[in-house]
Amino acid sequence: MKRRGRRGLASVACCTMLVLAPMPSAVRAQSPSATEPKKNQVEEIRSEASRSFWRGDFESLARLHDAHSPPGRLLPNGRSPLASFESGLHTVLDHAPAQRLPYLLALEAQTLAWTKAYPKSSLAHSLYALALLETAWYHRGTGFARTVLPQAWKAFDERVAMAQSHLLAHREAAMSQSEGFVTMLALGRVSRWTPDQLIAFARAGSAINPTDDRIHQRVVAALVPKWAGDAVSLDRYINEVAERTRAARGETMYALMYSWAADEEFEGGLFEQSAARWPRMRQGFRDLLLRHENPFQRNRFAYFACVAQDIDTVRELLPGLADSFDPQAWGDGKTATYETCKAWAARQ
Amino acid sequence: MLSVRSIHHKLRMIAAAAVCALMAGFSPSTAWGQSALPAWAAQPPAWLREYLELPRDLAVDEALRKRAEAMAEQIVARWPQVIDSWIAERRQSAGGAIDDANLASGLQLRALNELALWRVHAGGLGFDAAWSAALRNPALCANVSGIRPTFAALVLSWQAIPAQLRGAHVEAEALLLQRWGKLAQLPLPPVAALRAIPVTPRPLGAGVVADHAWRVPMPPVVASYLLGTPGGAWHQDAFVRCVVLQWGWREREADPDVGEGLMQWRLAQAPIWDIWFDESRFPKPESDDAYPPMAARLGVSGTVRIALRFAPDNDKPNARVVSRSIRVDGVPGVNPIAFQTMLDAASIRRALRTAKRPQPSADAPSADAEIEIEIVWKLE
Repeated sequence: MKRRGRRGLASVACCTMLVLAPMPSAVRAQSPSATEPKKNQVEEIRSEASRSFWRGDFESLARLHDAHSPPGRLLPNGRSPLASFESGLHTVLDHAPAQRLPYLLALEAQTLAWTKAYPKSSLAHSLYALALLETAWYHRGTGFARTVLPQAWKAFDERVAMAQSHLLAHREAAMSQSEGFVTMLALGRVSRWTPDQLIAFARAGSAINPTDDRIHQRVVAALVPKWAGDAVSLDRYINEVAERTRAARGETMYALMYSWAADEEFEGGLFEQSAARWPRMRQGFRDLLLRHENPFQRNRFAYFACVAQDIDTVRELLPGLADSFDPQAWGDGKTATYETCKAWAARQ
Repeated sequence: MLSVRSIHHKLRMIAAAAVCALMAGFSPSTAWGQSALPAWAAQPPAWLREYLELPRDLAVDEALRKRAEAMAEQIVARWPQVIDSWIAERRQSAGGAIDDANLASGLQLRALNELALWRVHAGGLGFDAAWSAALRNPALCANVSGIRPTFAALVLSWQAIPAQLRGAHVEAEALLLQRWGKLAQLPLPPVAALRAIPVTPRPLGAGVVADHAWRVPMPPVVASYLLGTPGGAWHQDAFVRCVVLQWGWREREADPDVGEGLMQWRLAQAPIWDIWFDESRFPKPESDDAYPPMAARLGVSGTVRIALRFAPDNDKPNARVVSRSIRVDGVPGVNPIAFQTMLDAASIRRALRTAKRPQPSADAPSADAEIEIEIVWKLE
């Protein structure tokens, strides 16, 4: 099995995080200011979560989390506020000082202490599990599965098992909010849960918070073929969620979820290697931008139009990107892909 | 809220102004006799006023702001009252005549040192209780991100003291200000003593829950600084200092030396030399362990005792400062707290260059060995 992804959570959310996730050194240097332009909500939540976690202030972190946990609200980027919150957590979880293992062990100790001080907090238990998962990935490394030593697999699996056991042992608190489900799904991916297990668990999480789209992001990340899934299971789940959300959001979730799937595995081969259908994705991006106009998703729309070789849509979108080009939206090739697409559109 | 960008800019300007003034000695335009107070010394230097300035958008209560502004004015107002005695003390220590440039730079150093002394003084049991309560507040350091230890940073930390203790604490601070400018002797506090805390986690096997050697878990920023960054410099950022010291104090809260933790906390709020003077603006030393030009220019001399620890498998020892005895020409009769670490780095370099591993003894041929070396810095 090819297991190339660096980590479940970070790469899952990369559509937005790559743009928004500086290292904690930047966290230190930043502070809200009345004289600076007001940050957008996406950045504000991310930054506040990052700073609170970085300084070890769980009470502020939990307040922020609770403020953005009630279902129903979406940010101007069309995502749940909890996605921005989690992006902030990852600036701390992913931080890599010169000596990373002692840092990660201290992170485990800090988050474990929070589970004891706040035993009813879903966030506290999730953070501890995420810290354990970070250490697991530290042992495993980021290379292909075939490059990983047996000892490293053992350490990886043990840490993942510890995280799962912890969440199960505290399931009442951990699963009282969608946070616990999101974290467990990240663990489920690396523990090779079957598609049916993943989907059943995701349904339970969505029942608690239907607008926490990180749940779907986790499932998509786990259902790509390089993990435990396949194109058929993936399409089945995406269609299920798209159907459930169509009345409120049109085909938005169809576009977003296949966009995440492309990030996870398919990239430019999305329409050949998966069951994604471009006309539905195109409609999904139009529905998304109608409700939540934002530069990243407009760039993303243009990228997929190029992948699908839809010349009319590419020509419609490219002029509007002159002032809002975002290389992070253009797949692994970033600016080069954008330039290639522009040149292709000009030649046609 | 505080504008970080504007504060950074302001601090750069202040630092530059301070260095320029030191280098140029205020550029006094007239010769100064033995008895007259030169015109340029009649007013406090611009950098002091800027150090004391509170940004309009500082996130503090209005009552606290007004009280803090009054305290800042108090410092400015005391300048004419102290300057005569400072000049007299300086002249006495110099043995009589002293040129204007040296006098001017000495006055600046004295002013900076007085601010540091203010921070290191303790104000009694209630005073420490208020700081202890603030140090238990997880949000204590939230508002000092990205700023250096100015008066504004200090006022922000007063804001973190519980409301019922805050008023009395600020009044105790004001009372301590009464000592500003007067001769004061305090023991030199051991800067960065937090490094003495055993911060190495026990070796862990796979599947073992993090078992740490501390009572209080480390916040991520502290773990990154103390565990993840070998040899990291004592951080200039007030936020990092704040969180590291807050953790260090909580870690030692139950220890008999908790007072030491509070001393460290107060010292971290002091404007010491590395915050205000840009060493890179001075000429480069002739060699790595030569007398640091800035220290020489500022008249800093003394003795630094260095401990060198040799591991059995490594000929390059770990070095740490054990103690210091520092003298600053411009700060006569007062412990030069703001400048105590100025010779540390050069002393360590010199110690590392000259030290040799001690001969192994018969009973411990390969054990760790530690020696101490005294480095003397004497101005000719």
